[in-house]
Amino acid sequence: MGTFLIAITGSIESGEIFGINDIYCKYNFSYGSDWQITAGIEEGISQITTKDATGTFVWNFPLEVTFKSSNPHGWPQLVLSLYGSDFLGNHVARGYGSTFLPITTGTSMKKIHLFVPESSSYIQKISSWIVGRRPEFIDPKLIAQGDGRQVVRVNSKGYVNVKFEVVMKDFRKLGYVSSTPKTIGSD
Amino acid sequence: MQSTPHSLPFFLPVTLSNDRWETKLPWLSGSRWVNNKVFHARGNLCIDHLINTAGMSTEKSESHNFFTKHWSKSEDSDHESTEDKSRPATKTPESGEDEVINLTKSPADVIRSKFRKNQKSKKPQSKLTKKLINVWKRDSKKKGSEEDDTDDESESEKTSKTPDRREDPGSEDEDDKSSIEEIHTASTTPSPKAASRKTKEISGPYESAGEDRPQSGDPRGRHPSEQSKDERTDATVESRTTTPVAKPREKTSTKVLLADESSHMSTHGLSDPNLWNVISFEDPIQRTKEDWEEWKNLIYYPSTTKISLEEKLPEDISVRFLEDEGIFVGKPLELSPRNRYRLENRIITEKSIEWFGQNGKIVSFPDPYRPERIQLCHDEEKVTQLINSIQFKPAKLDPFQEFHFDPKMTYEIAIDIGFINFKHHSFFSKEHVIASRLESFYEEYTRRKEAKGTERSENKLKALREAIHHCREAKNTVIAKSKASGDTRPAIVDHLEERVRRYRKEMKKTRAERDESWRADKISFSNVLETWKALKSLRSQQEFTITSHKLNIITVNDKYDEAKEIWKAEIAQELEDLREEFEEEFKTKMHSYRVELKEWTESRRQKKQKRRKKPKQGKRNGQQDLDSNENKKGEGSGDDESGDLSDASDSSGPSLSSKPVPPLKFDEETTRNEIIALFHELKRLPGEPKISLELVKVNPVTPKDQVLSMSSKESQRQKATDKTRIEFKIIFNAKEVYKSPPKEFSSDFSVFFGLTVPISVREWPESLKLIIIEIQKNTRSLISEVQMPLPNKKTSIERCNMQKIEFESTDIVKTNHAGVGSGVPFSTNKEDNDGIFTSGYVSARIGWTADQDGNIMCPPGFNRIKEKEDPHNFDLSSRELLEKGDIQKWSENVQLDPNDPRNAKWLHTISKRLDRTLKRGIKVDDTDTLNGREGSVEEFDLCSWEDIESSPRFRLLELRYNEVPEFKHLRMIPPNDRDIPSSIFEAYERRLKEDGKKKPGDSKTRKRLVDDDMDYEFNRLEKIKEIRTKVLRLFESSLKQITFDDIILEEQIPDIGTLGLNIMTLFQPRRPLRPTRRERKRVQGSTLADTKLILIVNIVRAFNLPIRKDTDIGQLTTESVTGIPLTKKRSGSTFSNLSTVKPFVEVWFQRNVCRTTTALGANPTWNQELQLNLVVPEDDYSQDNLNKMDDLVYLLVYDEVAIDLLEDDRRRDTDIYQRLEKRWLGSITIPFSTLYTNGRIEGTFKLNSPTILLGYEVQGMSTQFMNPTNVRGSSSSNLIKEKSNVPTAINNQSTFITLFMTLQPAVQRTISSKEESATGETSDMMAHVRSWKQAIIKKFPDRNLKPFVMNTDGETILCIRYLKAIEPPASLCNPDQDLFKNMEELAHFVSLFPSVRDSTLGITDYSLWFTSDVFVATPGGGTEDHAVLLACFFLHLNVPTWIVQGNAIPDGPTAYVVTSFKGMTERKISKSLKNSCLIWNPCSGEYYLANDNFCPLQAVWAIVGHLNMWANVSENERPHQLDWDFSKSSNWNPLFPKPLEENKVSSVQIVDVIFKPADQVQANSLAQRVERHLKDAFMKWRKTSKTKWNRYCTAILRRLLPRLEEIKYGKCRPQPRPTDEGPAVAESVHSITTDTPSNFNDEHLLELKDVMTTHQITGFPLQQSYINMELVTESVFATGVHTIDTPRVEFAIAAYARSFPAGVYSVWVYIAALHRRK
Repeated sequence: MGTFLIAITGSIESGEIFGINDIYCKYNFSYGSDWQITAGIEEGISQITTKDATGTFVWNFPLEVTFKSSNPHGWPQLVLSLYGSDFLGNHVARGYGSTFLPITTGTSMKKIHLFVPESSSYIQKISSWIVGRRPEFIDPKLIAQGDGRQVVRVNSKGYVNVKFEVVMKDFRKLGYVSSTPKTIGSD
Repeated sequence: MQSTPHSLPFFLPVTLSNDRWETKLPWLSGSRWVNNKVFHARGNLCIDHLINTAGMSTEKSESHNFFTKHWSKSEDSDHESTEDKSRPATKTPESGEDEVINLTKSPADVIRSKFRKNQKSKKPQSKLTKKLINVWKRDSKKKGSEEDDTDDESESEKTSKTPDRREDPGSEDEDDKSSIEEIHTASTTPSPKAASRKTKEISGPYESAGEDRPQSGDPRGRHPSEQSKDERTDATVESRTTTPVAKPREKTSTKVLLADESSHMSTHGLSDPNLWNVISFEDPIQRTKEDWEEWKNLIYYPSTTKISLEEKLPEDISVRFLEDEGIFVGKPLELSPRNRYRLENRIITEKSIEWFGQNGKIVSFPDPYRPERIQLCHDEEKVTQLINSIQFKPAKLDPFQEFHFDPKMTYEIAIDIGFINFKHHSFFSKEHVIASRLESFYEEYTRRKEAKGTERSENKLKALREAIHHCREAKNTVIAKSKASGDTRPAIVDHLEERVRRYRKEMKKTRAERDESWRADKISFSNVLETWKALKSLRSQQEFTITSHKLNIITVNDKYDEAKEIWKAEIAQELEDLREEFEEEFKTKMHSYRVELKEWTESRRQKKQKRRKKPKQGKRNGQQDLDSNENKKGEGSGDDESGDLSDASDSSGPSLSSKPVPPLKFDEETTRNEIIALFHELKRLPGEPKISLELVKVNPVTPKDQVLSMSSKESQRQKATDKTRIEFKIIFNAKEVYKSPPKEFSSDFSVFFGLTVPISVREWPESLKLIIIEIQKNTRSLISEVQMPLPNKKTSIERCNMQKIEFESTDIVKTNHAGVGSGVPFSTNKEDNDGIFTSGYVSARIGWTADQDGNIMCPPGFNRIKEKEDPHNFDLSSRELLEKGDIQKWSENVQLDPNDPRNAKWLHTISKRLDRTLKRGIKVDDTDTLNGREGSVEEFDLCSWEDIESSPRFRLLELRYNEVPEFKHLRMIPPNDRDIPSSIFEAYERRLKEDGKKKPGDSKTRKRLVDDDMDYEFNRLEKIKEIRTKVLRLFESSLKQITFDDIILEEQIPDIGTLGLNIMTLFQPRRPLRPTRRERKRVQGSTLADTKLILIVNIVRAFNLPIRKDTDIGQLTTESVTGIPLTKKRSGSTFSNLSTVKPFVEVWFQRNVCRTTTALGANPTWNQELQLNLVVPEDDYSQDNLNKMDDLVYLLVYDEVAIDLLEDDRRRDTDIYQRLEKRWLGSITIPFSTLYTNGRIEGTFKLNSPTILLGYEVQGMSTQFMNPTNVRGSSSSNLIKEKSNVPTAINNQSTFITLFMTLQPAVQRTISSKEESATGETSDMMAHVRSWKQAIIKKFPDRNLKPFVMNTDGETILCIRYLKAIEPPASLCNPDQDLFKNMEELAHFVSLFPSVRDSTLGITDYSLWFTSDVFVATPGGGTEDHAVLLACFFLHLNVPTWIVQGNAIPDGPTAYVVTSFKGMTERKISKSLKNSCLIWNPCSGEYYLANDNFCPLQAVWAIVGHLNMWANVSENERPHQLDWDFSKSSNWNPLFPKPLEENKVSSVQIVDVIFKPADQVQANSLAQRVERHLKDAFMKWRKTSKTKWNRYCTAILRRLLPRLEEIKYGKCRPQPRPTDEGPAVAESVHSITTDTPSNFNDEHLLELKDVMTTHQITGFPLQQSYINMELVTESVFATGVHTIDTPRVEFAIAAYARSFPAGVYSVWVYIAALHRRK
């Protein structure tokens, strides 16, 4: 039928977030209404990892998912939410970030920069620090869209490296050309 | 120490790895390939240093040289062959000797240290050279001696070296001590000195430092791949080495310097077998001395010393400098002398002196970088053609690329903001307004005075007058002279005359100017005076002063006599001027007149002569008279004209119109009068004092406390003004860079800042803006944005002056104090003023900051871009300007330089434009000429719009995007059109057609509709929803205000109170036996992603359920005849064991069912908790999604009937064989949204039970609670019972259920009251209502009153505007009828309109009220719309009516209608109703007494009445606890304390609501459809068994239904009987049958008696308003009749629909199950 498939394999490799000792990450995908996951895991939580000597967190957490779609609109985005424990042992949000899945086939490395929402006020900040519940996004998928972002103030954190290997099927058959010029017309 | 030259192979294979060695040979300098290869391949430090120190890293310039030379060479051969004749034309690559630099391999640390020093000393090679020379000298002495290589040789090496050795046997040398090997082949250079210069030796003394060998060379790092490369290069070496040897020795001057240590190399190499493999073939040990010699022959180092001219030129050619001879020689390429010398040396060495030109310089092209462009084509036409054919897309250069904006530099603009002065502000009082006007007039006055425009023009006039005088005198003298001398008129006379004429013209103009300025002076003067007068009068009127303006009028008396003289003189002068002017004009006019006259007479004469031939004499005499008159008036010169003119009228042809009129003579008197009048009007009269004005600000201002006593409004204004702060923000390049501290107004509405704000400029300055913000209380409002001019390059902040930058606001601001507002009309001193908008000016200066040295910190080129911006950056972006037709003006302003080629396009465009405009006189669109893109856009379109529109895929995508209900949830829209089923749009198109048809007045379609089932088939609910969502979508942006809480989950701050309480609990005594109720913690829905939501229903009990009554017809008749209820007697009767009822409750939610146990009796108690899982669509627990869930919780009460199947009575003792059947008794539906909004639902609710339940009988509460004599079977019994002793007026026919519902965990939406954004009310009204609301909300935060509602236009307006009497449809309102019955009818009618719960549409924080005409036309709407319509109807009936805003169960926040008959003198009302309040549920048509405890209205928040609104401020909320007297201010807080005038809040309602007339034909067809559909559905539900239909019964039921409707509708309802008439028992049978439902029951039974004899019937009618077929079906399904599965059961379904005006239907469905009697 008139759909194309895009298979993503990859891994959430490593990241650097400063001032934190341990961290785990949760990923999910945000995609438009014409998209569908046909295989693979849509959401996942990684192990908790601690810093290595150079201050890098390494997960090497595999991603494998296959999407089916009839329309490039609403191209899937990987949404990462990172959590780690604070000094009291509470798990708090340490970073959010998102990226579109690569549109080109082949390997791509993506560096996802992270941010966390700020407290609405200074008192809230102190209170959340004491109570150990920092502000979090109600829906992490929000960061994959633009709506309502204007009310949020965020604080930039580190970054996460994600590797994607993309395979596509029937993409060109539907008249779309992804940006790999050497194969144009070859299929 | 034995030295061995084993470093060579190590070096050479790498350097020679270039495959194309041979081809590059002639030009390849040593440095070149050394740099390229050695560096990169080896990274050898040693080599690196050597190269650096040897000054050979100048590869680039050298290679450049090479190319230049090469180039020039080929050029030479082409063009300058004459010059080259003497030289050899070609040269073999081999002929030139190569310089090969050989680098000494030496211990790295030594060399490194050495060369570091050398580098530092800046003369890297000098020491080296010295040393080398020394060595060379030494070496040359030992020339001829040989040294044998101790190491063995590889086979390949041997072969390669053999010829060398043979050729050059004696050139090897060994030096043990110095450990440097030098080979100097014989050099026969002209002079030894030159030779020494040319050659260069590099040596590094190598001591034993074997450990460093790996560092420097690192041979182990070599890859096998390199090895093969080396092999290859080795071969090239071989071939190469042969060439120089073949050459004559004297031509080469090569020095090979080799140095390395064999020992350590060998040890390292041998110790590691791998290493050995790698370097085996090139092991330095294998080299022989001869090899080195050979290498040395190949390598030399070019000298950088200057070469004399003689050397460069062939001997027979003398030096020639072309430049001196005047021949053009281009500027040679820049080349550093050292490199040039090296190149020259190289050429010399190679003996290719043909490369030197006649001037001794290297032949080369001039510098190719030329500033001027190169003409590609000489043909001018072609060029233009070319230029025209190429369209350049305008590209905007990044200014940073074009101009150097050094990011490291600091640039700084400083803005000095002095004052912000307001010329007008909304807080200006009238006095301020006048004062500011006075100020501006005074300003104008002083400006005029200072400019002295009047005086100037007066003086000019005087000067001109004199000039004319002079001219005339001069003319006269000239003429006199010329006359005297007898000359003809000299040219000078003409010239003078011309001058006089010009002066005259000028004078005339000046005079007009003078008059004008006199007038202006006068006006400005009187303006000031008048305004001052107005100010004074205002001050006296308001009895206080708030402005300090004072006008001083200074008068200087004039001497009358003098003034009179002057006056007269001036008049005389003026007159004289005018006369002279006139006379001169007269002359010219006369002259022209004469000429004209002559022509005229001439032509006349000709005509006359022609005409004379024709005999024509008419009208002659009369004409003559007229003509002669004319002549007399004229000059009298045309004496012969009279005769000629006589025929003028006859011959009045088109060519000659009329006779010229001679000019008039000067009329002195009138002119004088005119002058005097003018002077009187404009000039100061003689004797009138000179007045000068002076505006000062010294007037005492009334102190504030005094003002307070005078005018409260004014003091309010002052207070408000004092509280107001002004701040500004500086926006630089659209980024906010500074925010000022808020400042307050000074007394004259100026705000002093006095701030200098430096802005560090990090990007190109493009715009600078000032935003002025006003802060009132806590709200900030923008007053205006002020565009600030950017300073030019030379303006430093110190040097520039304060400038006033004006600003103006366009916001309309209304005030409720003495301030006049902004943009609001007001009146001062009885004269009306248009609204003045807030305006003012900022006094500021802007400039670049100067640093300490006084340099202006402006980025270079700033002005350049500014300049450029004007004509050239003014590109496509400013097309608007062009369209406005301002281009010409603009071009004049910009003053394009026509010679600047950059302006060509503009000039072209402008001229073209002008041409076109002139020619056609129409507006020309220049866009096409300005950018060539416009026309060609089409070709870039993918496809035409039609294609896109016709594509079903695009259409689907579009519809989905627009959230059209049918397509909103579509997923995976296929990418190909062919995959989309064509039927997909059918339903949608049908609906669209439907909507189109619905338009009133289209009779044709209406007729068709009768047959068209679709009229009621389409989903009405969807339509209502769509209309509402459409409105919402319009204003989505204003409504969809996402707040922080919506997005981010944040822990609430625990406040002190809760903390304290928590601590307190620790110390509280524990009393486990007295549990306190604790509020459950509420959870945000979205946090529940993983947990399940559970709906908990606790069914406590029910009461007054109907009990079974199987009516035998025989019993019935006796019963009805006697009128004695037989229920009691029959209870416990043996007949089929049906005496009582065994009820249970089923809860349906989202198709999940859960039931209670079976209880016994009419008043059962279950006390049972049921749990149901909540399924949320898409597992999205967000508030939004939960809000939108419109699922209903059905609570169905059934009677469980055990049907005995046991055939054999004998076995009854032992066997039980029963079938359990459930029979529907009643139900209640509670929308989930109510539960969600309220958190929990708790209470006793009336069960929706059918009016008639065949087989059952409602006993009524009376049997338990009441005195039986009070029983009334009327649905309006509550009215009757009001006088009874029973406190609760319960409809005793109703059954009730007590239950409790909640969600686990407690999810509750947060109610955020959002501010209304757009408004349809004036701002003061808005403010008033808001403050009123705030006050109440503060006290009762739960009472969610909504004074503002949103209308169809998305404006928020006061809800009281909706209440207006609307005439109900005539068929429903019978004036003769009892008023109350009319009301009931109307309530029933209104309840039939389909209703939609707003909360399911996401409307939660506000109400959406439609006007009734919209509601009726739809038909249907929200609860509020029902209430509005009902209230409006009641108002029409003159019943005092209000709309209640409150909370009802199960509706949630809703609107009810309240009527009061208190004090009504209407005789049509029954006594019982007087002094009572009724509460109407507009959606169900039911009504309750205000003191009814079972009223579903649980809380009353506010009452909306006609022209006013009251908030409930009493403690109680329940209707029965309230005092419904709105005049009591302790209970009711009115919105407007004083009654409003009718016109102040005009109604939004349209009085003439058009009701579509009722159409019973259509209703009948609807009934048929419903019945058919239900039967189909019924059979479908009963999958397992066959459904038998009892046709006979159906027919009877069908007959019964209309009557039921009539009863409901009230047509047959008897008058409510007063209670004192007697007990019901006494009533006649007949009256009972027509009276109460219980007797309808009997009536039905009577009708059904035939069936009853054979069957036992259970059945009931259902009534509802028609919304759509599904809902009808659903309601039938919910009764569960279809679950009866007895084999011999028969069913009957009958449907009836009654049509009402406005296309609403009341649908009745009668369902019955018939069991055949045994």
